[in-house]
Amino acid sequence: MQDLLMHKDQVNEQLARYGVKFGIYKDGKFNERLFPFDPIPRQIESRDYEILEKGLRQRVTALNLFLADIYGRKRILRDGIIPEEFVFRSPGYLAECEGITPPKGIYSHISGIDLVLGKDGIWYVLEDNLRIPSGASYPLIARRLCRNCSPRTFRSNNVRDNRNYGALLKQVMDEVNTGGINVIFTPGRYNAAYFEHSYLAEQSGAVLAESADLFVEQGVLYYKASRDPVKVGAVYRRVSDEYLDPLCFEPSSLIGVPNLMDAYRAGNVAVLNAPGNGVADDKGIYYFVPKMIAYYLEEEPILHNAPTFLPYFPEDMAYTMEHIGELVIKDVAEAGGYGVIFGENLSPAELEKLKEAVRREPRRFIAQTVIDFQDLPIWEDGTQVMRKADLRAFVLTGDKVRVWPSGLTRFSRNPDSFVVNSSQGGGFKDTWIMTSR
Amino acid sequence: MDHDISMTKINNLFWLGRYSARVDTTIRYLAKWYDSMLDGKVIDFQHFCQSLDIPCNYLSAYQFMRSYIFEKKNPDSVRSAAEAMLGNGMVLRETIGSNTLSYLQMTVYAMDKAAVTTNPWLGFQKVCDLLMAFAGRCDVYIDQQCIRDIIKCGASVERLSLSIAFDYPEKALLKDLQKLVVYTGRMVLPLPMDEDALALLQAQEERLEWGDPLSVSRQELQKAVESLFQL
Repeated sequence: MQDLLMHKDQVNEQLARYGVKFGIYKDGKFNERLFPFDPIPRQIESRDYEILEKGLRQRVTALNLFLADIYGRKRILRDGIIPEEFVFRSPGYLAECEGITPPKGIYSHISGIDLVLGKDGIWYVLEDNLRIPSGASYPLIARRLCRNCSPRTFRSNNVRDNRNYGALLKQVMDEVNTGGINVIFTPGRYNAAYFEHSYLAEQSGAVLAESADLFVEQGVLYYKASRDPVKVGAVYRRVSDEYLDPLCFEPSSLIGVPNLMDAYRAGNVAVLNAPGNGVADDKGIYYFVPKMIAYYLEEEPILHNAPTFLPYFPEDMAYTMEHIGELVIKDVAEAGGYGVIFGENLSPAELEKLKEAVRREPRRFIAQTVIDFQDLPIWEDGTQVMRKADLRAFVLTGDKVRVWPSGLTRFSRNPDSFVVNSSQGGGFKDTWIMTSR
Repeated sequence: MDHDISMTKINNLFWLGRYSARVDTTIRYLAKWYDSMLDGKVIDFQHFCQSLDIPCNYLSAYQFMRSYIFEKKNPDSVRSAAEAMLGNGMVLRETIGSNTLSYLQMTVYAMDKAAVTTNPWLGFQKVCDLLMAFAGRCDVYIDQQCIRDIIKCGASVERLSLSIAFDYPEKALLKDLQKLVVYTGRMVLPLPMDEDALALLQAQEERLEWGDPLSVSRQELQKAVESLFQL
């Protein structure tokens, strides 16, 4: 490992050379920044990974069944496992998707599951990201560059190869493809994750397209090639639901494709991930995922949720009010590390204000026990310091549910912060899955 | 990729070629002036701006050299052209490949590095070396000839345009005229082209090749070069 640390600057130079950046909008201006990389990898032992892998497959399978159920028969609601209003009042629920069965019945093809490792050695799921989870490209390219900069490190450590992400993505797209080319549909150059869109297109052999490159005619999605239009069979869209099709969702969207939903509804194109998935990764629905696993799979959940309270339920409201100073309160409508309030950081007056907000809109918030998760070592100015870190694991679903043997480990660069999001200054690490050999 | 590419990408490829040639040709031209200025001979920057039809808001030759080459906020600067080159390249990652694209990124870094050194000539050399490497990578690693040719068409158009503006001798124009005629002749993609401009360029290329002088003014030639592709 020492060898890799010695080459930290070279790795960062290589990341700069390949333009490994992410964009941030601040004060109305778009800026691109290099994504700070720490060379000390998160290491997950083979036997721990086996459990994690099983748990992730189980969770994503249940979430896909839930989505099929919600936009189909709604058994889970009828059976009273989840209150209806958690579904129909969720901003992620799209009535326009009712009755649509996507190719092969798969809704979440690329799922990003955020986890932390507690000091008790247990993995806790913090969040499911089933819409357009980003981040796989960073450890993917970092691994390649680290191998080039420090080959000795990889000769002396048994690390599972993670460089197959592009091939896995291609496989998933091929498996749901309805006939035609694979396309990665990006909002464009000024999207925060544009590097990822373009890099994954290169790695998976898909065509990178913007809205101006695509059109729908008679219920079929086409790519505007310079000679003749080419049919699109699978579109991995990196455009949010609301902007996907101006004729179906937000009419002012300039980054969508008119009538894309018609082509999808007709079964002429696979859309990865399916529109409407937001209903399943809502922070309120998160509470019910263990119940979904029991309901659909009749299994015990392998992975744990962070202990969560829904102020919607009177007993949880009472608990939240009593312990608000020890809990973390999350606004279900926010993402990217925003809308996360740690009770312990608030003054008595601020706590009262927060209590009032929770009482006023109980469905808008969830409360969670602050998990004392393990810090990870970070190499900073020549010394090792400990920082909070999470793990985004990627689960790809096509004919099979496959877990990518790696993941994006994000860490906080601020010693006093739990927030690891890149948009708030966090950095990233590679995630090594060790082999027993 | 074994399918046809979009008009958006053709446009990006063409402008990638143009901007990369603009950075390379202008840097080479101004590097000579940098050297001459050591001996007190200063560039006629007003004439330079006039030739390129760009605003001349510079106070001195030295300020011109600084701002026109390095200033990010100057939209006419070489640095801005480098940014535009990179911008066009970034949207073509899956078409040209990350390794080829990395040379464009390194060119921009080299420009920024040259801006803060006391011997920018060495920085210019690095910029030109990287652009040569980029061109070489395009030639060797981009499989589809039509993609290579669109980049080259853009580069030839830009070099010709600048050679005319910098008043280079006719002999210097011939090389790029010849290339442009070859690339357009074998283009398999439906590039929107002005047939009259193409005929004029073909005729002038033939004249120069036979050792005859241009039969049109440089302004007319410039107009034909600029209007050849409707991109």
